[in-house]
Amino acid sequence: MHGSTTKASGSALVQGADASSTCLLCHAGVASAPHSVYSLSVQPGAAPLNMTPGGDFAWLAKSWSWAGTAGLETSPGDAHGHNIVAADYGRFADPRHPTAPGGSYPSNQLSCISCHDPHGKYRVRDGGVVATGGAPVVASGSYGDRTAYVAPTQTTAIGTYRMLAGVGYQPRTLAGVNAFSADPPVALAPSTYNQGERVADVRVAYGSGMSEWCGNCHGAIHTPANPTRPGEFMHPSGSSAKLGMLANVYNAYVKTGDLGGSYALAYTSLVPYEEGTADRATLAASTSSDGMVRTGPVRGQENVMCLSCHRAHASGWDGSLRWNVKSEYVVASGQWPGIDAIGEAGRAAVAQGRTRAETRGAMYDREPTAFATFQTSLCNKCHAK
Amino acid sequence: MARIPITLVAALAIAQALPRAARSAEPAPGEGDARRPVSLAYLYDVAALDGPIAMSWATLAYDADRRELYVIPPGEGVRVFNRTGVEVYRFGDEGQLGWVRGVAVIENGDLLLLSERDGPRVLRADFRGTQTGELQFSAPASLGAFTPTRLAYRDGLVYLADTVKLKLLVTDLRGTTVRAVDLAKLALEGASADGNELHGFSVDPRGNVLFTIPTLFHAYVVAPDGTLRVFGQRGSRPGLFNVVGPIVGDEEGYLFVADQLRRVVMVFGPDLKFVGESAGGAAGLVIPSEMAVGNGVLFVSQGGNRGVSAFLVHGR
Repeated sequence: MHGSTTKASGSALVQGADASSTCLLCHAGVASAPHSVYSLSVQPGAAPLNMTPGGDFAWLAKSWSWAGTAGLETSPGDAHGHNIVAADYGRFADPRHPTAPGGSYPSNQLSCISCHDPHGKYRVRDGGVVATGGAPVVASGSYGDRTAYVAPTQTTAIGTYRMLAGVGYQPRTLAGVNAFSADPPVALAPSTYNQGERVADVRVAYGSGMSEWCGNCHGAIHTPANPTRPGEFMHPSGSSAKLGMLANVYNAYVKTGDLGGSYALAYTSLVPYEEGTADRATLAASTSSDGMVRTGPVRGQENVMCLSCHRAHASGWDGSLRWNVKSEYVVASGQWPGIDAIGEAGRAAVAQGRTRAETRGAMYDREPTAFATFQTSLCNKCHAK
Repeated sequence: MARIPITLVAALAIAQALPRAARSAEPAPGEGDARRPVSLAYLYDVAALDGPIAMSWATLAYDADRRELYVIPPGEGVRVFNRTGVEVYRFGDEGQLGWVRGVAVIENGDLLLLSERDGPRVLRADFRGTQTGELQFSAPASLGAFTPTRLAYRDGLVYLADTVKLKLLVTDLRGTTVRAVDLAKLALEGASADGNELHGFSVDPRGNVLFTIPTLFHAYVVAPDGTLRVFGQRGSRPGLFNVVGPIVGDEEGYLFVADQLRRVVMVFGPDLKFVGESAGGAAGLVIPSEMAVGNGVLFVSQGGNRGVSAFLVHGR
């Protein structure tokens, strides 16, 4: 990754123009691959190919405009996720936000290594302690499948979830004081995670600490104490934001107009939650990508987190949200909204410039029949308004 | 029996006993051959009449007879450039041919187009890009599920590669199967095809199928008789593979292999021995993603909006 002998610019002598350009050499491609997070060469009118829990950065390159009820409305690509700076791939800083929303992290310094420690120094040691040294890392700490799950021992450590960095982390190239103050979350994913969800959801077992970790850069967002803007929407998030009685709503809610669901089949990866535990063995039992684990919250310790509504990398919707909160309908007339749809689903304010294929891809290839004929926002999974 | 001087015998014995020692006039592993330095002399970037064209990840095809380069920027139609790199024609922008992902030129000037429209299709078009037919191909059951993502043509044969599942289908111009090859079984030595995708894919003038698998740090040459040759080693020094990408072969049997991480084009001789490499001159290369070669000119499609650059190949 390092050792460029021809670079006249760039830092740490990385081979790419910048850190993200170097990462994307392997993690971007024209076809979907298990490790790919960025689809190159997306067919016009089609969705990016990768359907990882974090999302495909290619959504950042898709912008739409339409004639809305208030005039011309837009969904710029920059609004669809984390705008990593990768000059070799045509990705640049978010022109709308000079710093992270709810924080001070400079947008022109945002890269893969802003979140992921490229050298994997952060590790989970026996007892769940996160450290940067000590016992050697012997396995990934990201997976919960029987074949991939590894627990740390007294003499061995495992990597943090997705090699996310922890306390004290700050890339050397980043000026100022932006070191992390929270350790990475406890979470486990199934080994097969880059797939559509038409048949089965990809269930990442989130344990604890996700919102607190996001707060490393977005600490002041969605908090009553420090609203980012007057009237800013403030939603509880984090270990103290227990679902409580809302867990019953979650388990009952199936789709708009249908509250006849049960705990056994309640889970949807469109609205995940944290289990409220840091016990990896417990979380390992919850990971799945074949639909075998569909139970909803039951222990009373589950909490809402940032990723309950957002995707970590990017999505097809503004704010990197998991569904479109800016449209009246998620599904209309039983179809995915799109400029090529018929009837209500094709109405400009509903389709919002996207094709049906793009909408479907943004919903991870689900069938519209999995929802109500006129499905409203998935905020109702918890709030059932 | 003539007497052989002891000193010569001893020298021969020593040479045989130390196979790794560099013999005279033979390059050390990973180094270029000083007798045959290879360089790429920058010629031009392909351009429209109003200047260079900024694009990334364009697909290429070269018509050596007419010295025309076909370029497909992602999401756009096909652009045709003349021997000086100026755009002279374009077609397919209206979507009438579907999403064109690959193009190949056959002897009479007709075109084969790998298109996505309700699934992958191979269209036949005249030199203007007007569709005249479609190749009706069908992968044999033995090949299993097959979704072509790359197209090549050589001497009456159409080569379709599924770069994800590592499969190759060779047909004639009527679509009749001539050969079906499970490249995973041939090249992976038991490794799973999952995660081991083809990156570079082409067919050289001799009919050898060339491809690279970056995750294995190898390049492969499959001869028309099915013989496989593998070369390449992982490493950061000249001649070694980091993130190996596109591969093409020229009329003289030289192979050009680009490394996306090291940003160089390596040249290997017909004997697959490393000859030399080039970083593309003062401007360098930015993630070489695809190449085409012919008539002593190497075309390199790049990322970072660098478009397509042409280089004269010296010293083969």
